[in-house]
Amino acid sequence: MTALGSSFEAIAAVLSDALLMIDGDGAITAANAQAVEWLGDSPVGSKLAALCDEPDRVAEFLRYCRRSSSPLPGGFSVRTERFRCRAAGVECDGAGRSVVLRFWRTESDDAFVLLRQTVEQLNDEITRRKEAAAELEAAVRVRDDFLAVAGHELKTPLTSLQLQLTSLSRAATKAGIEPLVATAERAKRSAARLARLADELLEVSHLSDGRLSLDRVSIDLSELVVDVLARHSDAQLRVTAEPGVTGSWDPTRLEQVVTNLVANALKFGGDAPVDVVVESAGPTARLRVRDRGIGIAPEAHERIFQKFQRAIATKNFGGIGLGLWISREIVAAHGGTLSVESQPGAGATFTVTLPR
Amino acid sequence: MLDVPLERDGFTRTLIRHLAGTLQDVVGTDEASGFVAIVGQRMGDELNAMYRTALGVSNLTREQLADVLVDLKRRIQGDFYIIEETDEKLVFGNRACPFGDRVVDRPSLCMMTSNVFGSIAAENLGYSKVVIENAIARGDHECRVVVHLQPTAGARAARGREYVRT
Repeated sequence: MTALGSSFEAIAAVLSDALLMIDGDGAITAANAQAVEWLGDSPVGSKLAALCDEPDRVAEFLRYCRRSSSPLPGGFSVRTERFRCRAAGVECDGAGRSVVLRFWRTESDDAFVLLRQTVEQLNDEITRRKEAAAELEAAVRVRDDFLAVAGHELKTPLTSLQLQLTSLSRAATKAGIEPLVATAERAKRSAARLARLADELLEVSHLSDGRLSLDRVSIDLSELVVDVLARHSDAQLRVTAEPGVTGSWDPTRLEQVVTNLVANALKFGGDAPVDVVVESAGPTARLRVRDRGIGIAPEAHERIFQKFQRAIATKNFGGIGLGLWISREIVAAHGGTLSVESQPGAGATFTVTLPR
Repeated sequence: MLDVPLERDGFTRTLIRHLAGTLQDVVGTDEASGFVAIVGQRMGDELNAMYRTALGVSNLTREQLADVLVDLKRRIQGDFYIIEETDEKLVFGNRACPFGDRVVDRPSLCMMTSNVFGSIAAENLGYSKVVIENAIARGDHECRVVVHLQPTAGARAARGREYVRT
């Protein structure tokens, strides 16, 4: 290396191509080892045009390079040896614009063209992939924004609908119209399901924006789980809750987690029993929900915790694939973990671990 | 005379389309743009000399520069017009490319405008940076070309090509 600035040294030293820096008068101010080897004794101080077989053409080319910062392709011969080059004008500490030339000795234009083609195709592929990834990210943002707005807009008419259905059910009960009572109750259950879906959509935007705030209080996880399961009053549920599994957690958020896991176990567990276990495990509390249903293939174990992902087709089981994602976000906000162990046909066990 | 849609202007434009297309296919768009950039700078130098002689001046002022850039495009059947004109920058719109519909998918040909405009502006005012924000060649309805005349922070941040007086 000869007289190259420190900012060029590292790059110039590892290049297999020759690298030259030319000042505003066309004099070579720096050259790496490859350039010295190819052009003869150190060319620093010489005019590039004087070393080349076509000095006028080289001078004109360098003038364009000095005027423009764009990388420009060129080619010329030195003592009848052909070189291809790529040059760009660069600003040098306010001292005017120099030209950096990187060039390849070439025996045949074809070889050069093939090499360039390969590099260009590779660059194009990288660019295409980057663009595709950016488009995908943008699409996900648009989707989340849409769902947040949709969830919000659904809430108001749904609340009104639920109130009116409750009024209708009461009026029908008073009037003793049994078929109407049954219909109103079915409609209320459907409206409640819709309200839960709207809540899940709103959660997407809150959690995606990192707006999950916890309201921690000292609670007993066993008591919380027993309370939640009491609402299900389902004969399949079997609970084993060790007393005194206390910690500082957000009870409303943990209720969401327990409800999601148990609802999933009942949905996918067939008619087989579902076991719920709460226990202490050293400095952590552990909740396990085990079903004996269809199970989950190993390749889907991580995917099911992502937004809008499901292990099986929608047509078989309802839901939009948000419950597990929301549950994992809530558990993670507590500093805990939510994981699954499962094999197809052998049921699934979801385990929540929470620091106390 | 046979009814064949062939005349000199159309032939030349088609020739340029195939030249640019061949370059893009063989060495890639980036390298093809480099070749067209050199051609553009040569054209810029010639056109600059032509207009200076016709106007009888040794240097174009900013006002003359804006008029010259619109005029030279008009003469070759472009339809450039001035959107904004200040000491810091000139902004042009363009409803018709001089290369006609043969320019579509030949973005390397935009280097012609960039380098002709950039060279003439830099040779007369010392500095320019040309940013092609919209281009018919890339599928936009119209072109929008910004020629920064001073290296302001905005010019430095813009993605374009810089030119200085040689």
